[in-house]
Amino acid sequence: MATVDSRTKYWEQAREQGFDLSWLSQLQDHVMGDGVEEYSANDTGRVQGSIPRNNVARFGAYTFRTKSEVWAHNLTKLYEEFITRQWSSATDIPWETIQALPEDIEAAECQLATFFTQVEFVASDVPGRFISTMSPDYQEVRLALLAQVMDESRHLDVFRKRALANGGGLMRMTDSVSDVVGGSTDNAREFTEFSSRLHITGEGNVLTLFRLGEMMAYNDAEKAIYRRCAQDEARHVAIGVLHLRYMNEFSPERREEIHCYLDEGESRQATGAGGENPAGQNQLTSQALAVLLGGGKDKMDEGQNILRAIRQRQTKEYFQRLKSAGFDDRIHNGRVSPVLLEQYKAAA
Amino acid sequence: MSDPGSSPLVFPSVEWFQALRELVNSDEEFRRLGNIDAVMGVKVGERVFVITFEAFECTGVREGTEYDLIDADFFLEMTVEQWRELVTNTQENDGADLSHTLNTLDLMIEGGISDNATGDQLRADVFFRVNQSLQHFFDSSARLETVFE
Amino acid sequence: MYGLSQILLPLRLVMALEEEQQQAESEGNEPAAAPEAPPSANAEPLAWMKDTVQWGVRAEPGKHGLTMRDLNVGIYGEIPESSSDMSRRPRGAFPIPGVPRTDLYALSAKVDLWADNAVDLYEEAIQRRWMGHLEVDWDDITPQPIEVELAMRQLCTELAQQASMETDIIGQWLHKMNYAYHEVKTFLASEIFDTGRHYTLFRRRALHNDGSLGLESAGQFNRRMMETRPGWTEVGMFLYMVRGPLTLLLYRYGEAYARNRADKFLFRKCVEDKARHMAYGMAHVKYAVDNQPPGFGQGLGNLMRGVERDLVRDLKDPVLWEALAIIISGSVANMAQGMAVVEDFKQRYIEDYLKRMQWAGINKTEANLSPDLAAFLRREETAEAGG
Repeated sequence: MATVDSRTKYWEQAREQGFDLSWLSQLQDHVMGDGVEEYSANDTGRVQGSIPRNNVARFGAYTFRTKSEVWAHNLTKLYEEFITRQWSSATDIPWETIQALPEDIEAAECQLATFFTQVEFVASDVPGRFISTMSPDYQEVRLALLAQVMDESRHLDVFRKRALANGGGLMRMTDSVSDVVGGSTDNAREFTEFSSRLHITGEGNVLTLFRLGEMMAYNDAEKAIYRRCAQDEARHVAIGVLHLRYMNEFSPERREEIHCYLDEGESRQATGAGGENPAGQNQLTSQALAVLLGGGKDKMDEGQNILRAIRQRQTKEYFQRLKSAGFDDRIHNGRVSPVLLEQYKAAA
Repeated sequence: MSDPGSSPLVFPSVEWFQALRELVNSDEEFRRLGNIDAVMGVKVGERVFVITFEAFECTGVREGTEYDLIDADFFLEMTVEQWRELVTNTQENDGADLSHTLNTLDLMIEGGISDNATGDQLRADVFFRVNQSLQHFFDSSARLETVFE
Repeated sequence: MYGLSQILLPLRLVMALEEEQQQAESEGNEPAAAPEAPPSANAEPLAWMKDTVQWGVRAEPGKHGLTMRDLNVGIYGEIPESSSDMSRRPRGAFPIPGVPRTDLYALSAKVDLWADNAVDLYEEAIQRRWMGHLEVDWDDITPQPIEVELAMRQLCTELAQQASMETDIIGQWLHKMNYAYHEVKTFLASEIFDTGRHYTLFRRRALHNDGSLGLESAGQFNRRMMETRPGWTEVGMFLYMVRGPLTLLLYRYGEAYARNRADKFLFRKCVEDKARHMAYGMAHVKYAVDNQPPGFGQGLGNLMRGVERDLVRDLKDPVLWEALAIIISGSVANMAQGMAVVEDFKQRYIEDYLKRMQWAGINKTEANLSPDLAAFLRREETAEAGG
């Protein structure tokens, strides 16, 4: 083992040979701060906590560079859950259990699968867009988002597989843009707006539906799809809840603004506008769901009854997320959508 | 080690690679490492063996000629002595030690050990894409009682 | 006909839902109880049941399971040369008139992003996924002499930043790609997932043994990749054929000179991931060179003239190379020997770069290489002790 003295000598000799080694001393003296800075001056894409150089061009141009815009606690733990709970649509779904289904049931399955294939595009594209506009100093957030992009890609993949695995095919595309009230997930330029819309409202609704996949599944393959997608979706919803919780705690001055985003999301949830909630009223997919839940196109009334209960459950779970995030005051102060409030009371 | 009572296997031989094939095909860990779709040539001195992997298993082992290397994604080439050292080292350490992993040998031995016979870099890169599976394949030979010809 | 609720619903679930429903109805709580309106595209209820472009598809799982490639049958496997669809309609889904555009996908031509192998590489990425925080035996990584520890921190800081930059670069382009080419988009999603893993693991490796992080990257080539605007192909050439071989070699040397099995495993698994990324990138650039108008490949080659100067600037920065030399030799005292290996590394890197460019059909040879890069190929004549 070299002593400090001998090391100093070696280093000096190495410098005399033409080596630089100034970086070695910098590393030796470098003490990393603990915690994440409130403001990120990172313009060069450096790793959070690394030693900046003064001769690197500034090309980062990150839009999001304050912690309070994007942060959430416990994302590292959530990210590890992302890593450990990945799965393969090719080999983890028992495709061999799919048997021929009556034509109306198969059509409904395929219509629903077509919807999910398309809507997962949104859930993949939009988080992806935010990743590269966020300072790497907030890497935990970026990691959660890029893991979500992976999940959503697998979802669009697995639903496409379902549509094409059993004698059916893709069906009618969804119009997710017409009649949109307020901002859409696509258009969000602000992270909290995006997160409240996608993670809380959109994915929250889909999570409820996936969790009830037992009711829509006609074989073990479909059950496995919904079960695994529900696990994934729960992580995505958690990103949103954790972020809103952080905002509530550390950026109370933005609460009113956030309530406005929630107003818009609730409006869409109540009316079905935007087509993001497959169980929403007046949706193509709600007809497909009614067929699946009822057990055929001649039993859609029964299916509609179950669907109504599912909507109530979606609302109930949405309200629980509001509570968890600290935004449940809107439930009690008259701000929440009256339609959703009625559903909530019905589900209570 | 191979089954008690069974004869030691000669390296290199089809039987030796066949035994390795059976080992990994019954090894859940090998499957867990992921799919491996590759035709691998193994050149031991003048002798050539062709090992085929498909999906999650090793599907074929045969002896071939240098012409077969043209169709391989990549082939591993070492002298008889170098192969012998690798196999012995693998047995002594229950897997290759730090200086005998495939990647290390490819960097340390003059000219490398892995290449594509036609200069197709994309196919040559399969060696890297499935490297852990290949390492696991050769490391499994620690369980074979081996003699050298 | 199936009676789903009778046959498949768990009784408990049915009862719970019925109870909820009865309660809602008795309280008159179902909002407006609006009758389900027909879908906007067709006034006929259940008309959507006939809205398919191709019915009767039965993709069969094979040895690899049911893969995305297995789905590419009939019209579902027809990859358009270009797509004017801006509505996220899944490829092969039944189009409906009057759907507004959702986005403007700048990359809507096959030639701008396609690679035939993307569909298989996506499945490969998933099958060969790994969990570094659990699978690397971190306890096996015991402290080394301080010089080696510091050098390792520097190498790992560099690798973490390379991974993070890759996240940024792909993130800039992924959402601009049209969903007609979902095979490429899903593969790239798997790639940024890999980059997240690499970032996390190398940062953790740098901090291991009470460590800290080193200097940020030299940055000139990062800047080039981030600022390049003309197309994904150009960025892809930089990312996969210039930066890619460097990263791959760093991983390979990291494996070769690792002092424990844990590091061996860490670097080896990263080798796999990086080689997969490069397989897509090389295949795409070749596809573009083969299918773009004549002269495109020549243009890419010409573009490299300036880019190589950026690369030279980074390669002349001593930090990474000195760190690598210390890791290889095990000490500052012996780093001249380590630097000789580093010079081998650089030569190998430039050879690899040329080989991959030529594979893709770009005329990049020693003759038209930047003289500073060409010098790495003739190092016997130029190299001196101490680098």
